[in-house]
Parts: sequence; structure tokens; C-alpha cells
Amino acid sequence: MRDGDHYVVTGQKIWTSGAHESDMMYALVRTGSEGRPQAGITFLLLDMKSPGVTVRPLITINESHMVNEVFLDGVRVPVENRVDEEGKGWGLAGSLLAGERAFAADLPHTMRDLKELKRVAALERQGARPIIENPLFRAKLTRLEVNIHALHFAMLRVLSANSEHELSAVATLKMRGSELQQRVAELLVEALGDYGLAFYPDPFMRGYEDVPLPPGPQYASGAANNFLFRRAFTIVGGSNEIQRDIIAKRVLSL
Amino acid sequence: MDFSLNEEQSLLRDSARRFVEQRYSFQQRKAIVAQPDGFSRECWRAYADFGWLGAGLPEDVGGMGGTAIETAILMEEFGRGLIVEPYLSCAVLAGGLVNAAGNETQRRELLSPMINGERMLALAHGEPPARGDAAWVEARAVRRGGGWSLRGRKSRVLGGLNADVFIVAARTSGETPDCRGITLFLVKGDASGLKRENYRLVDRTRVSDLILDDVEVDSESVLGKVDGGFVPLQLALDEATVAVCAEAVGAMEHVLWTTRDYLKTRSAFGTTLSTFQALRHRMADMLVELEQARSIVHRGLASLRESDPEVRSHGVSATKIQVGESARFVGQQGIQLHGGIGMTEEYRVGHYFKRLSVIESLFGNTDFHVERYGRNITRF
Repeated sequence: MRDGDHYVVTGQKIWTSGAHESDMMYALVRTGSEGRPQAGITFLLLDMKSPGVTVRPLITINESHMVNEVFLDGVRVPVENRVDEEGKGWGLAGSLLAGERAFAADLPHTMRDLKELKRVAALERQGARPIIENPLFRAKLTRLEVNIHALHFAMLRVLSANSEHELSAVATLKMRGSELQQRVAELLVEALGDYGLAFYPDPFMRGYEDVPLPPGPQYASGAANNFLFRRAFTIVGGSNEIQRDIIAKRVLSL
Repeated sequence: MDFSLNEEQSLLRDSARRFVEQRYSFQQRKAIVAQPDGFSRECWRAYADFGWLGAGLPEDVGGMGGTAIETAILMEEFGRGLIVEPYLSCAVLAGGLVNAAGNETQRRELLSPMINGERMLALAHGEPPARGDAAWVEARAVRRGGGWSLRGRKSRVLGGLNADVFIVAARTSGETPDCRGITLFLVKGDASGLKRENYRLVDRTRVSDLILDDVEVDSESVLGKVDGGFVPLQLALDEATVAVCAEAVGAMEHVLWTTRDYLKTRSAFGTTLSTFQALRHRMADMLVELEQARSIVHRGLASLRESDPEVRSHGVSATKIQVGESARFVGQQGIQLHGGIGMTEEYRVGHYFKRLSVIESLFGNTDFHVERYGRNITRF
């Protein structure tokens, strides 16, 4: 709702990462109902300290607070905080989301995880030998590494195209990238054996001060957390089922 | 083959199911895991009163005289409700081991109070490099005076937090990983030189690492025979493996129907999620995985009756492999099909995923059992 030189925003946003530690957030809000549903959406930047903003933590299965629900009740946003023109929010969101999906592959992170996984697997033993020498574990590690290399080249191809990211490429990167992030976390948990699924409390979580630290090796901390939280990676930014739909409809014309 | 339950077994299943429904709702469980012990003493009392703590143990020590089938019936129901009492570690694993290894006096003196709910037992066997290999025991016991002195480290002792007595596996002869030369010792929880490092797993169950720094025990504390620990250990571990597989079946079944209900009610894109073929097919795949898991548990139960330990372990490994694969798929897809809500701690499906993941890692993960099964694939 427009009120003079302000927008008055009422509604609810969910899965807002970091809302509890942010000064500002961007929000897509409906400013019109004519034409296509995508047409009446506007991109606003709003001050988290504005009256009417309530942030409710959403604790995820890794027992950590990273995402939130944000309730907006008559929040006044100055018109100068609008990005681009009124009703142009959908296009902006589209490019942000495409960025998020390509970014969701988060390849540098996965490659760093792979390196760490190999380091840990060379240290952690099964019997007298390092687990990395176990043929079954090694086969899984090999497949993972090859898949990561393929994704690396897929990413390089997208980047070298130097044009609007093709939808098919972005969908592929998002799907495979999120799966590989999950797999690298799974293999690390496996490599850590008895300490892989030990619970290492998030030091920033209130109410967890008395939860004892497991006596595992230092590099075990964070493994289970990633293993659990990364289940979200095939859901967020357009679930992998949605990505398959995009490929089927828009690329394969099915 | 007859897969149906007899009348007593049906009653056991019904009463366990009723108990879980009435006493172990998701909200009730939330309060239970927050207690200092990490479980409910009241529920433990109830299990003792129902006779469940001796469901798979013989009558001469106060048990119900049942078999692994009775244990599996209970475990499946416990899996539906994600019960956190140390039933598996105390009644099945440690109880089964005392029954298999102990002499008459030990069986009576340890099992009767355990079955009555007055004393808790835990097996301290695993060490980090073992990864399921029952023979990988580096902890050592040497003779001192008329008794023994124990040194070593034990990891991820299930039910360790509340155990009154530990059964500690230590090497008395031979070299790791010889099967011979492993001896089981009874060690009191407050023994001098014994240190517990308590922590928890992602599924909220409590475990401990034990540090044994010259823990002295008398010669009466040897459970069974010196150097003779491996055979009963392997038996108790095989029984516990099948039991935890039955638990996984109960947990998977809960995930399946919870997810089904969610898809039928959750609206998106102007319809309900249940109308999307991709999701319907995924649910059908989940059901197939659950049925495969449920079926292989029957094979596991049958193998526990085998007299040849290698044939028995072969069938147990088959069970753990199939259940591990099914649990992984059903647990992951339970979250995936729920979407964001499935990722939240306040919703139930994530807790099932966590328990199923822990189960996959217990008593040797899928790879361990693939390797163990494969070793004998041309023999049996």
C-alpha cells in the first residue's frame, strides 16, 4: 500500500537467512493486482528496526539458528528504498534466483570439503589402515571426486559462455551441485566413524551452554552439522523437483 | 513359511503400540529428551512392569522366555515413537551378552535386577578403528594380584551415561585383531580409574567414551571364560543388529505415512502436492524400500536361529545392508518431500531422519556389512 512517500507493508516471509543478525532485508512485496501475477511485485529494502518487524527464529534439524520467519505488520518503508521501478520486482528476483542457483552449486566450497574429506580419510583408521584405503570407501570417494570435476567443467562452460546463463545450465548446476554438497558431507560423517554423528553444539545457541563437547578429534566438529543442514540444499532455491520440471518443460519442451 | 504373529506376540505388539501412542507423542518425547538422564525413568519403570526388559531373555532369570522375535516386535514399535530409553543397549545388547556369556550366578545376579528395572548395564566394546569389527579390541587386561587390571579407551558406549555396570571387552592374549584372546569384564560404574566422557548423538541418545586407567577388578569379574569373549560378543552384536533393524522399520513406516498425510494436505500451485506424479512415484519408491526392509528383517530373525555363527552373521549382514539402504532413502526423501518444514527441529520428520542415520552407523555401517557379506558370498 502506498501512503504518500512511503509503502506500508503487511505480510509474512519465511526462510529468511540471517534476519536475526541483519540491519536491512530485501523483500518482494505485492503493489498491484492488474495483469499477470508477476507484474505487481516490487522490490523493497527495509530497515529491520522499523516498527512492525518481528523476527521469529526457525531452529533447523542441526539444532542451530540460521533462518527465521519475519512478520511485517504495517511496516513503513520510504519510497527511496525501492529498487528499480514499481512492479519490476519479479525480473530482479529472477536474476537473483538464477544467481542463487548457480551459486548454489557452491563449487569452491565443495572442492574445499573434498580436500578436507581426503585429509580426514587419510588420518581416520579402519583397523590398522586409514579408511581411505578401504576399497569400498575409496570407490565412493573416487566417484564423488569425478562428479565434482565434471561439475567444475560444467561451471567453467557456463562462465565462458559469457552470456545470460542458460536455464538448462543453471538448473543442472543447482541440482548436481546440491547433491554433491550433500554427498561430500555424508562421506565425511562416514569417515569419522564413531564421532561422525556425535552432537557438537552450536556455540551461539542459547540453552546449549551445558551440552558437553564430544571427545572426538577436532576436525569432527561441524561434520554432523553440515550433514544435517545440507538436506536443505536440494529444497531451497527451487527444489530439485522444480529444477527437473524446468528442464523438462523449458529445455526438452516436454 | 509362516510370518504371522501368534496371539501372545500380537498382544505384545498391541500393548507396545498403545504405550507409544499414549506416552510418547512428539511433544512428550520433547520433554523426555530434555531430562538430565536423557530418558524417562517413569517409562523405564513401565517397561520393567510390563516385562519388556526381559522380553527376549529366558524365564530362569526372570525374563519372558521369548526370542529375538519378541525383541523385534518391541523395537519396531519403539521405532515408530523414537523412544530414547536405553532399551537396545541395556536389555538387548548387554542383557543378551550376559545371557550368552555369563555363568549361572552371573546371569542371575545381573539379569534379574536389570529385568526388574533396578540396574542398568552397558557394553563397552567399540574402539574408533573397529568400525563394527568385533575382534578389534586394543584395550588390555593384565593379571594383577588375584585379579586383573584394565587399560584402554572405549568409544560411543550406548547407554553409558546411566550404566551401573559395564561389560568391558579387553584383550588378555593375542594381538589385535585376533578373535581369540578377548575377555569380558564386569566393571562397576564407579570403579576407581574409570572415567566417563558423556556426550550425545544427533538423535539425542546419550553415549559415553570410557577411559580405563588401571581399573582393578577381581577374578570373579570375568564374564564367562578368559580369552573366550569373542563368540558371545558376536552373537549379542548380531542380535542387537537385527533388533535395531526392526526399530528402523518402525521409524521408516512412521516417515512414510507422515509424508503421505502431508502431501495430501499441503497445497501448492493451486492444488495439493499429492497430485504431482513425481512426488507420487517417490512415495511409491519409499513404500517399496520399506517393504524390502521389513522383509529382510524376517531373514535376519531366521538367521539368528542358525547354529553356525558364520551363517548367522552372513544373514545378519544382509539385513543390515538392506535396512541401511532403505533407511537412507526413506529418511532423506521424508525430508525432501516435506520441503522446508521437514528441515525444522519443531517438526517430527527430521528427528526420524537423524535416528535412521544413527542406526545406519551402528554395529558396522552398510559398507562394513557389504564387506563381511561379500567375504562369504560364494560359500553360503
